[in-house]
Amino acid sequence: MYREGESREYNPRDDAGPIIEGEVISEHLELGNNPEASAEQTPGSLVEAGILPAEKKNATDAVISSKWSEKAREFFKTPGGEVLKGAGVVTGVGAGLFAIWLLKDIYFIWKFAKVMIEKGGKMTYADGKKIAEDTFSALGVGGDKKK
Amino acid sequence: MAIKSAKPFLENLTEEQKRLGSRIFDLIVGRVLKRVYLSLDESGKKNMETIFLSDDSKEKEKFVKKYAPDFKEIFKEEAGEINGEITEEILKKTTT
Repeated sequence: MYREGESREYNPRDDAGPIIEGEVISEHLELGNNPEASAEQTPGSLVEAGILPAEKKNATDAVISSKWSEKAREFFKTPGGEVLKGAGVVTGVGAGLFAIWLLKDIYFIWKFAKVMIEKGGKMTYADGKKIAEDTFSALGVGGDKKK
Repeated sequence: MAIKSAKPFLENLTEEQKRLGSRIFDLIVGRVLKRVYLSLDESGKKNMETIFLSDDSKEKEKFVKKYAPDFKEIFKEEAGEINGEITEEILKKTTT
């Protein structure tokens, strides 16, 4: 939780969790430009570049890369490749809930990449926070608001 | 525009977004299954491997319900972690 006067960097992980109502955001941290950033970057190419290290991490994990785990992951998808339905059926909580969580991630990450490109690699803390708020708003779901 | 149901929004995703979304889903479920696996004793781990290597969907459902009743909470947490990892990488690619 951020308080006025507190000094810290913007951390995207902060927005993976709940948005806290009434939170005071005072930082406007400007991140420097990367001269190596390509002008040809698209949200899709950036998201893909962001996914690859996580995929490599999973691929080198003995448990996640095992045959049974691979087969288990497929089990959570429907035969047509549609994600989430299997997860909903298996856990009995409904595919919709998983869909909301996954869509929140996709929406946030995509928009994050888009804004980074539009702003030439410069993003204020307020920009990041707005993306998170827009994400919840677009999906018609609220964060887990804390009193 | 507020979206009342995830389904129309899912259908409105571009093919590229669907493809990337499917990969993100795979990453999340991989991490969720690992957490469940590591929470088991050796016998439970063997059991999990055997069940998920089989084609018995009912057994798989039973296993998840019995040994991972908090599956949705773990999923939510891991989705947040993956979200953080991806956006941090995007930051690295676009900033110093």
